[in-house]
Amino acid sequence: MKPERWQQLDKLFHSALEREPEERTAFLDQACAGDEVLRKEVEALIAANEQAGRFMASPALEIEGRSLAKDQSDSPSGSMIEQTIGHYRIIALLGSGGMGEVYLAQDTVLGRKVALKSAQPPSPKTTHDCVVSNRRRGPLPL
Amino acid sequence: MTSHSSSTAKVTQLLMAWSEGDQSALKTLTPLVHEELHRLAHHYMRLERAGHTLQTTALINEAYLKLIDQTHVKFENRTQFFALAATLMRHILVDHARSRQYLKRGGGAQRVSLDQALTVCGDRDEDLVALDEALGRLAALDTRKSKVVELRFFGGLSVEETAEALDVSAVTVMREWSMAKAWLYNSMNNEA
Repeated sequence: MKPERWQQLDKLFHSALEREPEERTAFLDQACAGDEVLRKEVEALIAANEQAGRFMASPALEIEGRSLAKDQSDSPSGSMIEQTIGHYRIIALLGSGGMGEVYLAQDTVLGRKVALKSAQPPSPKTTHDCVVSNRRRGPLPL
Repeated sequence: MTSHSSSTAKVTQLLMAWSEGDQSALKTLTPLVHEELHRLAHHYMRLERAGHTLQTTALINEAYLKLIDQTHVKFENRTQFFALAATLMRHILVDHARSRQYLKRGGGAQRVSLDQALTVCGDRDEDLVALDEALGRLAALDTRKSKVVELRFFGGLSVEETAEALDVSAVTVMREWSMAKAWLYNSMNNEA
């Protein structure tokens, strides 16, 4: 789109919004002066403005945080969150793949955060199979 | 000094280093943003389980403040700092959303049902990857509008802070925002 055309669209969008809805048709009839493409573009933007609802109403950090929460509670392993295995309290799922899943957990004895790896996607049966990465030195501190 | 304010100072320092071309700062910052995301997700899950649909604005403000605190920045650097912080947040959050979507698709290796595939493609309003692409298209048409969105939506800045960062009035920010929002909404929904 040419810059002049874009500016025209910008101006018409705001001018139309400043008018009462019932005045907009007459306004656009006159302002677009038979340029149907331009008119359709303005009308599409005005419609979007009304339909957008909560689109971008929350900042991106919140949207991503909520999406993550939804993924975690939807996943079969979502039920692992808040569970305690030994002295590790599971805080969040960090990632998963073909070989298993990695959780963020709190070591309640040493009072630090660790990564916990489960060897298989956990089911109630396999929960106790949760192994701690690098058994000898203990889990990786985060 | 509390641990909160010292970690804030650290993030601010890293951002400044990044602005001066220090690429290692990005590697250090990314896990800090991820940690904040997990903390938020944890809160949301707990609230939802408890049946609360609480206003969580304070939670988000606190998280942003922890990551992007301008009070440590010298006045002459503020504008540049805002812009960088927002660009960085966009980069990290969109990357995070992309890998989350990838994992949901089973890491690209597993078969997914049509229902699952639809779930992944759904919620376009909340799809940061699609929004990022649309924002790239908007930037080609109108740089200032895309900057307004980057600062407010990704950087979490208020209208006044956005106005200051772009050296325009708050009214201009509001106007740019409303047109950008409508355009992005159409662009994302028509691409689907």
